[in-house]
This record gives sequence, C-alpha cells and structure tokens, in this order.
Amino acid sequence: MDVLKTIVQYIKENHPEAGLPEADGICYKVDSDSRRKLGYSRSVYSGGGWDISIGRPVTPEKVYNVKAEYDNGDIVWVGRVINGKVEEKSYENNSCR
Amino acid sequence: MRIIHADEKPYLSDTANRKLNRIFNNRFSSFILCLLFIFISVFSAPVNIDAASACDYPVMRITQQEKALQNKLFLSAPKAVIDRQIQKQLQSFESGSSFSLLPYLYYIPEERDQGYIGNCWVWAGTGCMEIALNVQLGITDRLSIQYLDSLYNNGEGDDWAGNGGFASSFADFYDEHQFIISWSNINAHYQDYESLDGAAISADEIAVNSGYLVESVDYAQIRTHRVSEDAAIMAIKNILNQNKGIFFAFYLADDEDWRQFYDFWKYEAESSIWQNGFSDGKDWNDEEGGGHAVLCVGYDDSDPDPANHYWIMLNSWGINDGRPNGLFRVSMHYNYNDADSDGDYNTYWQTVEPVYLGALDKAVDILPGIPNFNNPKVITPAIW
Repeated sequence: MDVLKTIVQYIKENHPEAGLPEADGICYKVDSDSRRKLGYSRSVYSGGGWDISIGRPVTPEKVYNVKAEYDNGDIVWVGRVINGKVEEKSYENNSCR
Repeated sequence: MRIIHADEKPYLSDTANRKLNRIFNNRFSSFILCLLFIFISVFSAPVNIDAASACDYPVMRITQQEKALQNKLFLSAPKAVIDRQIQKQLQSFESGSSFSLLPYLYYIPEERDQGYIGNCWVWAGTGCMEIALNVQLGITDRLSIQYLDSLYNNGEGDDWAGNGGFASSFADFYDEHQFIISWSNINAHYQDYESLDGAAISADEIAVNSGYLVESVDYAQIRTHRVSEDAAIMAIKNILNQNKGIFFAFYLADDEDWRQFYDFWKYEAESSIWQNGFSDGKDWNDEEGGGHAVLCVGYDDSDPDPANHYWIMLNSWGINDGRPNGLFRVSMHYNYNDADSDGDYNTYWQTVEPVYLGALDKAVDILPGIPNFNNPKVITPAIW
C-alpha cells in the first residue's frame, strides 16, 4: 500500500530514533471491526513491535488517518495523509529509544 | 508389479518389519528424531518479522462466517411497510413520474460537508429525521450533526462517529436518546470537518435549548434484494411517496471503482447519471473497499428513455463547480441484487423512521450571531 510506504518514510526521516522497520517488514492484517462500516474502513499493519492503523474515511479527497504505535504505546505517532502529503498531529516517545 | 487396492493394507515383508522395529526401538534413533522435530518447529516459526519475508506468516482474515453474519444482520432488519393505496396509484402511472422530498428539507449545500471524517451515516440519518420533522410537525429545521458526533461513544476512541457506522447505529442512538437538537443551538453547528481521532467539541459544551422530542426511532430495510427490478423500484418509490427519506448505503469493492465514483462526483454535472453500478461480482479488496451513505430524496422516470430514469441523492460532500446543490443521480436501472464475489450485497435501501412528540424549545441561549445561524424555523409552542 503506497500510503504505508509514505508514512514509514516520513517517520524514519523525521524520527529516526523511533527505529521503525522498513515498510516491507510490516505486514497487513484485516481489521474485522471496521469491515463494511459505512463511511470508514481501517487496515492494521504490524511488524517489529509496531502496529500501524490506517483509517480511510470515504470522502472525495484521498484522506488517510494514521496511528503508529510501538510496544503498546511507548512510542505513538498520529497524523494524516491528504492527497499524498503527510501532516503530523502528534509524536510521543516514552521508550528508551 | 503388484497393485495395492484401497481397502488393502500395504504389504511389508517379514524382513522389512524386523528392520523397522529395530530402528524404532533404538534409543539413539529416537533422540535424533526428537532433535529433528525441535529443529523443524523452531525454524519454521515466524520469529523474524523484520526480514524481507516477514509477511509470509498467515495474516488475520475475516472469516466467511463473520462476513455472512454481517450480511445477515442487514437482511434481518425489519421490513419497511408498503402503502397499498400508494402502490395502486404508482401502478397507474404508465409513463412514469417524478417525485422529490427536497421541498421538505432545508439545507445549505456548502455546509452539508462532512469534511475529512467518515460520518456520512450521521448526515444521511439526520436527513431522514429532518424530512420527518417537516412531515409530522410542519417544522423546517436543520438538525445538529455535531451533537451525535460528540455524544456517540463519548465522541472518542476507535468507534467514534467519525469512524463509520450504520443506519441501525443512528436509529438506536436516537431511539435511546429520545430527543434531537437543532443546528442553531450554541456549538451545535458542525465542527468536525478536520477531526482526527474524536469529536472537536465535548457534548457538555453544546446547548440543548432547541430541539425535538422523539417517542421512538426505528429503522427498516426496503425490500430490494431477491425481488425483480420492477418490484425493487416500486418499493423504493412507495416509501418516498410516503414522504420518508431513504438512507441509501452502497459499497464499492476497490480503488478502481471508487476512483470512477470520485471522478463522477468531481467532474460531472448534477444532471448526469451514475450508470456504473456497484462493483457487481467483484472481489472485495479489504485495503481499498468501502461504503458510503447518502440520502435518497426522490426520483424521475418520466423520460421515455429508461437510460434517463434516476434516483435523486443528496450527498454530504459539500459542493463543487458542477454540483451547486450537493446532489447526484443514480440510474434507476441497475442490478438491485448486485453483490461482491462473496455474495455480500453492495446496495441497501433503508428507512430511519422517528415518531416525533413535539418541540423542545426553551427559546433561550440561541444567539443569532453564532456561525451558521440561519434556520427558517417555524416557531411552535414549547411543550416543556
């Protein structure tokens, strides 16, 4: 998924200390809770201790809501990708990294 | 060559049997077998997820049973009631007709815009409530979207209103809540355009001085599946002619189909008709597929050419150059049984039906100066 690569690249460039693995080391999982909900669907990706949740509201703009979380919240990155452009909303690192 | 039949045990000579017994009775051989077992178990486990082959381990997939259950939930909803008088009347229109509920609805097209969040289901459901308010109480009012956004699941978490929902979620919310408030209350105007992981404002900060009491809110499924196209069309028309807005939900299976729809929305005029159907027979792509809810407010099949017969849909994506009213048209003639390759239907026609008791209008704290205050509301006596 292109947006996953975009996000991973952004976090690796702007927060290298977070130690996010490469995108091809992060695997796709279906989020069964959001499947077939009207207006929104979500994919969850996992790898290297990270969970990356990518939500897609059904809107005419290509918008993705992203939450990347390491080790159940030790590092949390929240942001949005709109038409390919990454907007970081928050970044919190409480780990030793 | 000797052929071994299926019902016959494999033949081993006495010599071979003796050899096998010797091997398996040998303690050293057993130890080697154990080591081999441990080796296979350890090195076939998905321990190195950073490796290039990390994604080879089995991914979590929704099961066929889970999907079937979701489809069944939709289909097991109560059925919308067909009015026999209207049915007879509709059958008498041999050359088609047109009908619109738009006169019952007051909306500002550029403000009917959900922004970057997935709460289309709230807009579609609220539209049904607005039409019913006019039909039942004779009141034209814009109702608050923000109020539900801020209250539903406390306006936060993975299941807040901006992360999707269903007609049933909407109806259940108001059935339990027992009243709906006007857009014109302080802070009740829409503020979630860019909300990311929760409502922009807490429900505590929204005034509830102007609104409407509801006795109940039900939802029902209009029978459009496993019936003929004519029967499906007739059922939808019947509900609209009962002056009920319709919560229309549709699913598109992948990015290719969504791109077509987005282009249709962005670049075509309101007079053009969506003729592409709804991903009929396609494989559902879990990473790309999605659903959208809009408000069906009417139809027109008066043109002699069936290609020009359509449903009128009110979207919640604001306006653009070609769509000054935020409307689009869907062909009346598509496969109403269309489904993805798993058999899950891709269109659902539903009603959200409130029973209003009256206005809740304390007539205070409504400031004419607040943004978007321009409701042409008919003042009715307050009941409390």
